[in-house]
Amino acid sequence: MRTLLLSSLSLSLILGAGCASKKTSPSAKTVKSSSGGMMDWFRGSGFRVRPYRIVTLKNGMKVFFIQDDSLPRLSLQGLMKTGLRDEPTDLAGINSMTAAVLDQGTTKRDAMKLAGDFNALGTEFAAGPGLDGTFLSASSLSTDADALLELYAEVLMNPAFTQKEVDRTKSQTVAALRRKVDNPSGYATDLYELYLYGAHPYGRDTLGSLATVNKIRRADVIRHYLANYRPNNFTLAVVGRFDANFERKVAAVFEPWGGREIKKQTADVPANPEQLSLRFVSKKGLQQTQLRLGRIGVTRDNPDYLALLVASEAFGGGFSSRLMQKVRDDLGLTYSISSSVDARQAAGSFNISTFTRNEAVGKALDEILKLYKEFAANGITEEELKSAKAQLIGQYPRGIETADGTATGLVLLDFYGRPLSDLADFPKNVAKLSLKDVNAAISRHFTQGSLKVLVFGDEKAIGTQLKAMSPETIRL
Amino acid sequence: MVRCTTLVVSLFFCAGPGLAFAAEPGDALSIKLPVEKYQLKNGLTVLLLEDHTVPMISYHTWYKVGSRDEKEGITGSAHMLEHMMFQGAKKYGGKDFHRLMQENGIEWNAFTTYDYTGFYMNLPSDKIDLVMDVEVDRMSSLAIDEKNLTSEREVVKEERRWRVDNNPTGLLFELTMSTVFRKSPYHWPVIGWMKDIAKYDPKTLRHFYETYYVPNNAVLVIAGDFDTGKIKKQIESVYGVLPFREVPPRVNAAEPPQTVQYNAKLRKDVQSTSFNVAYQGVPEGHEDMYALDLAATALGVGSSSRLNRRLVYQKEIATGASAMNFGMQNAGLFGVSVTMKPGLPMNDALDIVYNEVYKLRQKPLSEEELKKARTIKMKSFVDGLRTIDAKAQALAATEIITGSYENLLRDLPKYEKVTAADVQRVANKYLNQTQRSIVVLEPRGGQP
Repeated sequence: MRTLLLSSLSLSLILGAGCASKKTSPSAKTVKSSSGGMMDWFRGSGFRVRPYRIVTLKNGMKVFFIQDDSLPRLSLQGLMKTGLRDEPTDLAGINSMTAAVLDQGTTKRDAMKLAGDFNALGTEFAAGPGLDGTFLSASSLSTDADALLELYAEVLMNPAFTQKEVDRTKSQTVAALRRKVDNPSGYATDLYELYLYGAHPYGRDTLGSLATVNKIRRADVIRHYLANYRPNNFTLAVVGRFDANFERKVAAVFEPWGGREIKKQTADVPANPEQLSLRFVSKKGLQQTQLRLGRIGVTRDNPDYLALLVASEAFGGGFSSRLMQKVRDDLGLTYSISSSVDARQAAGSFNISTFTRNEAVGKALDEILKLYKEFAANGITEEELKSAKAQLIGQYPRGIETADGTATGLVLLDFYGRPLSDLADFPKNVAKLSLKDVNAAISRHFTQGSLKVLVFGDEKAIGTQLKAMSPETIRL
Repeated sequence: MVRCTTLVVSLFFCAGPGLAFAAEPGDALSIKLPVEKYQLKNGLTVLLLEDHTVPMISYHTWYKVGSRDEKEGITGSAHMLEHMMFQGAKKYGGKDFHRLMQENGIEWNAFTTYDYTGFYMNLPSDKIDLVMDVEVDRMSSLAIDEKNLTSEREVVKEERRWRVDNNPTGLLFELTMSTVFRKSPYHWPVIGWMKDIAKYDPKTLRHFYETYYVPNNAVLVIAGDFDTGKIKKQIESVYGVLPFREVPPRVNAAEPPQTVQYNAKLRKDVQSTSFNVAYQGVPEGHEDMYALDLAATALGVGSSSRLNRRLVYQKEIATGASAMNFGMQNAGLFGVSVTMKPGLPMNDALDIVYNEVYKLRQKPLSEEELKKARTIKMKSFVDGLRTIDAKAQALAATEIITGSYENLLRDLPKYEKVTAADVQRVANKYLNQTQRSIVVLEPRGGQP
């Protein structure tokens, strides 16, 4: 499954704009609570970002401790700072496979023993390989915290990577890749990412391809693990009901893990096309057509990031957005349509996603493109600005309502080299954006180059509706 | 009636050696849920949960009407009406509604199930006046006109194509429900058959609205950052003026006991065969629900479950295998789902499913397996209470389905009381060959 790191998290909104500033971490730092810019917006409510404590172990591993006694629960949320973009092209899928085999046996327990021990705590070890990084997490009732810590650390530090488990995971990955086409919505997004990014790693499936997965050997998995899955490339958040003694246990368990220098890969992101271009992928029997439109966007540290979030909220962020009002409510062409800004370590993307009945594909595309042209040329209105800002600020507390949400926000800000104060300052930073700021950002990012459009539907049912756009047609 | 309850549950069934370090095992796993429940004179049931974690309120208005209140020919009406609830009422028109919500920083949406329809808003706490006014407006004076319906009908058709017609998983679930339930209204899908969606008219929906969208058929759950005393006065003032209106009893055809195996098959352009083995279960809250839940958990929840171990791990013939016990208000479904690897036939996998269900009937679970299943249930319960919105949802669902929100926490000790013999007993009672349905989705060309 392709997972866009951050894209499914509302907290991704909080990762604000500005120049990256890496600070040297102290060995231990406590932030009692952080109100920052929030106080202007939630005055009198007593609302704060929860207090947290940061400890950096001698091996370079950073740990956030965030206490929350409201439920008898403890979670360990880790982020390995290696993702799909760090894979060699000929071994595409190696990171996903490494993450998947991690909990398939350690030097102490085989795969089923490990699965049973995690399940006995009511949990699974969850690996979420993404484009820029890989989430590795597990949680339990707080009374099982010690057992959870032992299992989690064992999986991260002492995976066995046996030939049997690597082969089994390869076989499962091949099956998953072959079945992807059965999910039209997810498959259309995969096709779109490939069309948008071409040979850049972001164009690839997180799982890799049939060709590359079959080439991956056990030695490659071990090499990838040793080169990337190191404590100095890893951040852990310990969240929930625990005490100081447990903090000491965490440090003691991970101290023996050896660090090493991490090498990062880079690749050029393609430019946006001069003219609108369309790829039509046809599959017989589809009852509905998936549409994806978009263009290469911005990196996480782009100063326009927050302005573009506001712009996208107005254009396609909710029920009252331009896209939803026109394409769904007025014309009844779809059930759902949205736009999104997906900022990453390398240039991310601006996306429009929807689906429609086969006989209305041409009309839906025309309407979306008209709306997009108007948006790119003239930006948004004062009323839309006010409304979009209100929505982003109004829903902001929900993103950090849980201690887990706060942890995710902090870990990701740290990952992207952003000041941790961005978490508290999000409402203030959004509020200060003017119409001029937002429309200038739209002008900077949407006037040069055009969109790429991916249509996934049944050629026979769609007929000649796309002919005028001279699509590149691929038949499955 | 006014009743104020502070529920403090101790998840004591986990107590044992693992809790030795806790001074008081009960305290170590306690959860507080201070809920106040009362009813207005017009019959509106109100649940209040004051929680100042964030300056937000989760506002849920759920109605006791779902697809089981429909009949053939108008299937999906409850869901269609849910859509129309966003198309405007007397005071707040359709586009005004969306604009107002957006510019006040409110998230809003709704859903329909077999048994109920829920509307929810997540709002900054200072927007409570607006939200209450909007909800009362559409509870009392919804506008259902032909023009809006014409457009929204197309939206719902697209929703159906997206959820079902163009989605193999949705197709298989729909066919499973219609196979297992032949007489009861759980036979048809919540979203309705496409032929019915195409012919909805304002009169039918108006009748649905006037019959079921009345205060005495609703549960209002408000959780979050408010003052209980103040909001009670506000609720009385705003909702108290709405009239009580008699709601007809929900009389649904009961599903007769199944006495022969049912089979159904669907062929589509898919890469691999998937199948469900399903049984009629028990309604939510039934005394056998707890043992069936643990049976399903042992069978197919978690990577070490019996089915995952044999089908995915040992035999390597499936990409996924799971089990669930799904309780509705008047019926239940116990089901096993298996997805084969592309190119492999399902026969061996089906035999293994039969064998594992047979073993459930023949031999009690080990104490270790039973304990693991209980912990998975309990952890899932705790995970489901992490936000005010999740708490409000859990309270509303339990209140509507079981008649009392207090069952939300009363359930936990009931899982602790389930013995291995109970699990074996319910397996023998509900999971027999003549009680099962085999529902298959296979590639168009057939299985290899």
